Amino acid sequence: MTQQLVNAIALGSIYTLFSLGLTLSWGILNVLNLAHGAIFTAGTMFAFLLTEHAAGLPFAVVLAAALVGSALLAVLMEAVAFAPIRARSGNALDAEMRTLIASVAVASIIVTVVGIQSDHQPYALPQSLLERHRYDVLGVHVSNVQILVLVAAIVLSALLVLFVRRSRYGRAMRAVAFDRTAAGMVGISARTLQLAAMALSGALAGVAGVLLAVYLGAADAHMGDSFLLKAFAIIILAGVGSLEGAVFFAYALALVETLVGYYLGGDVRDALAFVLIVVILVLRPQGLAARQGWQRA
Amino acid sequence: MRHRARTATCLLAASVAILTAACGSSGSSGGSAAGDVLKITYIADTSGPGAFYGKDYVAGAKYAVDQVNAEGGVGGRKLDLEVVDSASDQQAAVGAMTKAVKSNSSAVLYALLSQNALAMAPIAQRSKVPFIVGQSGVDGITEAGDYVYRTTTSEGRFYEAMLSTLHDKGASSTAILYASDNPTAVTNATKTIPAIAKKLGMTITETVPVKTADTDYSQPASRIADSSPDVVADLTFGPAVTTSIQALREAGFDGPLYGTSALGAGALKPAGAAAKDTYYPSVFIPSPKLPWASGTSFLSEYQKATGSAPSFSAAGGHDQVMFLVAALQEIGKGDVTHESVKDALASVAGKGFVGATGEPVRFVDRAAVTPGVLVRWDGEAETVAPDQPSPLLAAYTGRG
Repeated sequence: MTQQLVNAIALGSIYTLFSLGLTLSWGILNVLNLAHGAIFTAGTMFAFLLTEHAAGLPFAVVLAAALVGSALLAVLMEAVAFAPIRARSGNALDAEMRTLIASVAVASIIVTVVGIQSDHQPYALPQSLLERHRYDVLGVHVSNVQILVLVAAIVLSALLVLFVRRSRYGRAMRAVAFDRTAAGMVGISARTLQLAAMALSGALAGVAGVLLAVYLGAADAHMGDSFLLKAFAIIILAGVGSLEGAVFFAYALALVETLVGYYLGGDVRDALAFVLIVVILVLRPQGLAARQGWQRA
Repeated sequence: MRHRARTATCLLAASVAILTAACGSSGSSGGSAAGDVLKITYIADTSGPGAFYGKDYVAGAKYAVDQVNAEGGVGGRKLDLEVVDSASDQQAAVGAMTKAVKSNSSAVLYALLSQNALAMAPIAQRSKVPFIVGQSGVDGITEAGDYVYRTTTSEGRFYEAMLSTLHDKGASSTAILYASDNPTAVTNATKTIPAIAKKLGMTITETVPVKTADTDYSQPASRIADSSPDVVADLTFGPAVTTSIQALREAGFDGPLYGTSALGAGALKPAGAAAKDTYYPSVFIPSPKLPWASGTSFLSEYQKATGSAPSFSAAGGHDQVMFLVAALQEIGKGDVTHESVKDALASVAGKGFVGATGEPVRFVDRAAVTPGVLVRWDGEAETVAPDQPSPLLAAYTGRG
């Protein structure tokens, strides 16, 4: 049982990093970004290419490069696709639907490029990048990679919550999310903040991708797909925009999945996440921890 | 209102995401019906989860066609290989098959997935179109009828020799991790391996199903490690191979692993040292130590022509084409009809043909029987495992 708790915490940490980026772009930009999983995958490819062409770089440098690469990719996506679509849409619902479809197209392009680049085969970051160590503590196996993933999730979640709640930019983002026009009237540049939100979202996806590739031992072009579905489950359970809710439900879903996977088998594990979505949508459509949107986070 | 819109968006998003995950792409290239050209349709899973191996099957088939055409073709007629992507998707595979049997192809070839081949074989038989399957090791494919052949030895046949070798090395118990969405893996996990283990007196400590698309294997790995087996069967595919092995090591299992030929073709490379002492049977390995001459000559010629070593999948694709070519050579300058090809395939199957996977590749009930080789991953590369029977498959020489 203790071993399963360790496994659940590691998995929940990856879910957390992935879900926070998605809820950020959804909460601020009203973009349900289905390309978030593709950016997550692109992050692993940035890291892989860097280690291929510059062997011997420290892990922190590779992680930082993937973070920057993923952030830039997300900004590019926002500037080239999402922002123009929002500008040309008649109302918020139209904009949300159109950007949703655009994000499917962008995801497809990114996944195809990563697939071609990897020759449609799994690829792994060099083992020398982060030597794996396994510690046996009272019969429980814990690895340095699991500890790293947990620390990254705690630190980045805390920083994001502090940024959103306490910083001037965070408050400005909330203002833009609440009423873009009114925010503009008081001198807040919605355009800049939207780009910043996408960059932050992309950076989180890139970090999550690299950490997952290290944790699993390999990555492939489609690795973001299954996490995207899990992130939907988490955000629906938490309610769109609830950062603390996303963190809580990321770990809760991971725990339930881990216990179900261990005791009942992998066959029913994934189905459970979607049974939960349906139940929550029926009983409480706004999510279990929703607080009326990201703007009030 | 805003919540309703978001909920609607959310549901749409989930649907789109599921559809996106479920769908692949397909396409075709080439193909002509000129009288001096023999068209072959090759349906292969070159995208989706099977792409890892499917692309190599196509590469091997193209290499074989190029070699035959460079030597003047068959009976003065050149081969024209049309490749269609079945995207690792049963519906796409059936659609491609339905189209192919109505075309002017002399035969249809397919690789890779068992579930697709199972659905395609009855279509070929009903349409009376010769159908040659590569990989797809599950029962029930060649049973569709006399137009259907398989040129890859069913891996289950190799398992007794592999488990015997591990048993001789001191293994008395095994656990099994398998992809529950792959019929071959299900058959091997629930029937073949348990029957062999019973025969050898080995205990099965755990049998754990997983899905190919899973990314987190920590729970099944924990269950297996907790059962303390001497060896573990890893019957997963593609990216799952590396991830599951890494999870098993992380969960505390440090013993030898064994599995299917899906562990070949570079699948263990990303796992590196974590996969050390992983064994699998294969119909081919790109090693000069391969114990049959046609395999080593294929290795050197393929390397010379393409600049890279052929995988077992490339060898499989090559042999599918060469089986058909041997049949077409029997027909010579005669009429190439679906019936004449079927009769010629039966004749070649009776004698065997020289392929990359055997010299000769023999057939029993239209399914290939080849010598096989036990492969060991030493942490860096695939090697011919020491202390193995030759041929690995006793039935190849009539001993089993």
